[in-house]
Amino acid sequence: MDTRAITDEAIILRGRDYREADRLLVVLTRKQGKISALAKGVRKTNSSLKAVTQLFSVSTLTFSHSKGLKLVTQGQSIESMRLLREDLDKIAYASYIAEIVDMVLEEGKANEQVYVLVFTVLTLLQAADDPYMIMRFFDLRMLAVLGYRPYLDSCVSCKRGLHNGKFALSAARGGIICESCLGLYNASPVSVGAVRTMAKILDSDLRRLFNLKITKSMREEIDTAIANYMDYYLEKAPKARAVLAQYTGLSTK
Amino acid sequence: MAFYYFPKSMEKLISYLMKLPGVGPKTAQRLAFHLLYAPEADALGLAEAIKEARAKVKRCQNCSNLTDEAYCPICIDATRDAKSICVVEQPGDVIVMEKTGEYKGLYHVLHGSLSPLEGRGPKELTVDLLMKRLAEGGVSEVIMATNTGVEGEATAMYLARLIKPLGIKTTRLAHGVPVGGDLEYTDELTLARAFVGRKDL
Ligand SMILES: [Zn+2]
Ligand SMILES: [Zn+2]
Repeated sequence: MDTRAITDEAIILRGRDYREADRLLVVLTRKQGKISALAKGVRKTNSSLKAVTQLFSVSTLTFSHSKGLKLVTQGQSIESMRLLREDLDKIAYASYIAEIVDMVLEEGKANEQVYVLVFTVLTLLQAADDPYMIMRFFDLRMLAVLGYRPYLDSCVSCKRGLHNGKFALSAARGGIICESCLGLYNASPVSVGAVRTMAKILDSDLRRLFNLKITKSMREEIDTAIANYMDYYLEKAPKARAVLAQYTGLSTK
Repeated sequence: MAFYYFPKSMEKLISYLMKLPGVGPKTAQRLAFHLLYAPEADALGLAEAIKEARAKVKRCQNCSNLTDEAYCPICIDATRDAKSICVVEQPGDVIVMEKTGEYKGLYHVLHGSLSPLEGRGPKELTVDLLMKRLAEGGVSEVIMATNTGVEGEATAMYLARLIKPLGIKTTRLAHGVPVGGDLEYTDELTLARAFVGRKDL
């Protein structure tokens, strides 16, 4: 067993209280992938690790091994994500991201692409007035990183082009499928505009995405299609999605 | 090769002890031995105390704090200011607050915090009971004294959203409670200061 200390950039994905004053964390690190670690004494007022173990914060953390368990021993904040942690909706969005990342990643398997994606998305969320695009960007890019990128160029089966006929997004078939090829597959109907928007989200430069105008009905169409598509690969619906619906239904605006 | 196991009754005791939070197999074994060798009055006293607490302790029908009666001593104390409700996560937080001596109002115990990640929504807490209390009228200020970590903040913000439309002032304990601080571990002076410096939500 490796007993040397590791120092790595880390995003706190989840944490739960453990024993009297400790927190058991799941963190996403840049080089080691997802790891579980114990942060001792961080629920006490004067803990020096308190700031760097807050949910969603990004820090350089040092981990040491002790009896098969990783301990957080030191930390230096990179980005506290304060703006994100002070906004109820944003907390719910960030929780959704963290839950999905935790669901799909195996412990200790490095995946720097996921790290960079999560860091980018959380950073953007902090400043966003409308998180819609950022969230769908996360969903689609995450699917792509995991190798489940939906095929959106033409019907996956007969290659019929988008200009021609009705389409649906099928997770089982890995992309869009036309009405006549659909058969008994479960799929969410998507308009051509929605398909083109999803393709843009997958391939365009991030800055250009924020200029995209999408109607409310297209948003709903894309939401349902992507949610069904993701749940097929996740094998269950993330809990945070239901909570998100509860929170955002209660806007003070 | 034959293995020697603990007697069945002891295995049973160990297996129950292992269900306690933070207790692993080794600690459970140590505790089991301790209970076996401790004076009979101590060991059986513990069993009796558990039984009694389980039978008697319930949630106050008004504030959800733990109590032996239908209502807790704070809720039935006529000298307390019923216009103010301080919302805390755990029964232990009430005790911490009371020690500051700064607060004269009533409490509401949520029995947890909101956590989208752990799938803990408002229904898992005593939010409905709080809203019922507020709907009955007479309350002019709700003070959010949830912990300052993300989950505690989310809980405070969520409740503020629910309560604001009722026209009741909602404030949050402000200065002095450090980020990520659990109330239970915040010393009394900082907490007293936090009460004085609370801000609108
Ligand atoms: Zn086709
Ligand atoms: Zn009470």
